[in-house]
Amino acid sequence: MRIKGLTKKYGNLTVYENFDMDLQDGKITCVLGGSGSGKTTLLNCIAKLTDCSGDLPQVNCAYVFQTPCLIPNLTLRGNLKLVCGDDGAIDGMLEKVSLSGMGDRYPVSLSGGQAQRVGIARAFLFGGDIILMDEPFNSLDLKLKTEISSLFADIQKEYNRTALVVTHDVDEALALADRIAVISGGKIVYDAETQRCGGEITDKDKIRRELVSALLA
Amino acid sequence: MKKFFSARKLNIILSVSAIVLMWLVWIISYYSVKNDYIIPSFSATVKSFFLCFAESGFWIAFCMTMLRTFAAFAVSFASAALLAALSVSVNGVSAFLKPIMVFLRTVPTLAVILVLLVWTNREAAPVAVTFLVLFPMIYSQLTAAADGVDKKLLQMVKVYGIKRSDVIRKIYLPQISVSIFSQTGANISLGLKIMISAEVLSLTYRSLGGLMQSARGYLEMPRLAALTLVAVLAGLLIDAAFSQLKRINAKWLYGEKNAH
Repeated sequence: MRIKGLTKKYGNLTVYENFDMDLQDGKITCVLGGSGSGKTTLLNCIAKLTDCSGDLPQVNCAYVFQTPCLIPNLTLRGNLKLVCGDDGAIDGMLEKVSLSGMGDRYPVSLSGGQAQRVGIARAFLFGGDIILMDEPFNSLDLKLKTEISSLFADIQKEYNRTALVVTHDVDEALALADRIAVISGGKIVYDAETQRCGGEITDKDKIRRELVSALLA
Repeated sequence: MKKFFSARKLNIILSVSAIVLMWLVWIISYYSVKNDYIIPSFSATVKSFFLCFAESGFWIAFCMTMLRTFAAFAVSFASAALLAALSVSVNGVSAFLKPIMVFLRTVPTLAVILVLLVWTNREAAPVAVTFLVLFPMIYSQLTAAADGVDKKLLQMVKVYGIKRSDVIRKIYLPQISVSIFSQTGANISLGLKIMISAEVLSLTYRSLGGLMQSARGYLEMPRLAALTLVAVLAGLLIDAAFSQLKRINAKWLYGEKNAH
């Protein structure tokens, strides 16, 4: 999956000019960057939520937003049924995200973490070519963030789906990514594949140092 | 005070206090003026209020006024809904309609009634005036409700390719219905107020406004006050009915437990 020559401008502000990036199939790529570095814009360009030019992959995207984006007047099952008509698959996915038996509840009765799990369940049920995630664990506390990001990583491995996660959290990227890129000024300024052993990144401290210095540069 | 009363009980107590306050203002004003032709007494008004119910002419006038009000509201709502839907879904319609709505909102009602009396008849003029007041207001409410639909939800449905019919049925209509049910009671009450004013000016036969004009002509102040009370109570009942519908709608949308 390849992004080639992406150019995106907001009026006089150029966010990306001839931006290139490859995404590896079945892997989680994390894009790190500071506020206003164009992380969300990158996802919105791929999902065709904003106008841009360049060669972008013509793919069906699932999208996990910062907020869960659930329709408040539909039950969890109703929300999931919009993307998948198979009740069995919905029940199975609800079980995977530890929400079994909660299909008839309304979003308002869920905690932030539970609602975000429904967002993740919807993304996997949709069955697109790529899952885009825009700082999906941002509003969660550290415990929930760790719990839900590892839940996501487990399901991703099982389904072997390509995922592009943008975040400003180095630890989140280190916990999830098979590959980490840092974006600054519309360019990739750092790009590294991670090697994992028993789920943990090998030479984590070295990569963390490199990431922090790339972010601060 | 919240420690002693639940929020619901506190609201009831405050509403009853406001009614008692208005009643006290009436009594004090009556005893200050002591002239039945300026401010009728409470007892004479209540007597006249109950006497109205025994007159078939009153019931015909009341029903005709309500019928005209609901007809004006229905036409206003249907036209506003149609144009609001066009304005939200077709580029340029909103900009085209904007000056028309500003004109309709600001045009003086009294002047319109006088013009309409020349063009139409005493029955149609109040309906047309009520329409002209309600239509731009409901249009603004509906477009505001449609614009208020969560933009992130709309991005989500675009990404997941959810069918347009599902977007309208499952996102737009439910979210707009909340606004409709919370504003319709007040809209119809306002319509009733405009209708009666227009009937008074138009001397509409078989109408509450017509009865009020006739009571004023014969200086029957208790009857005039009683007819005003009827109009206020009708407005309150409509408001209460739509508040109830709003609750039922919320239960239907968000489930019994989450309706609040």
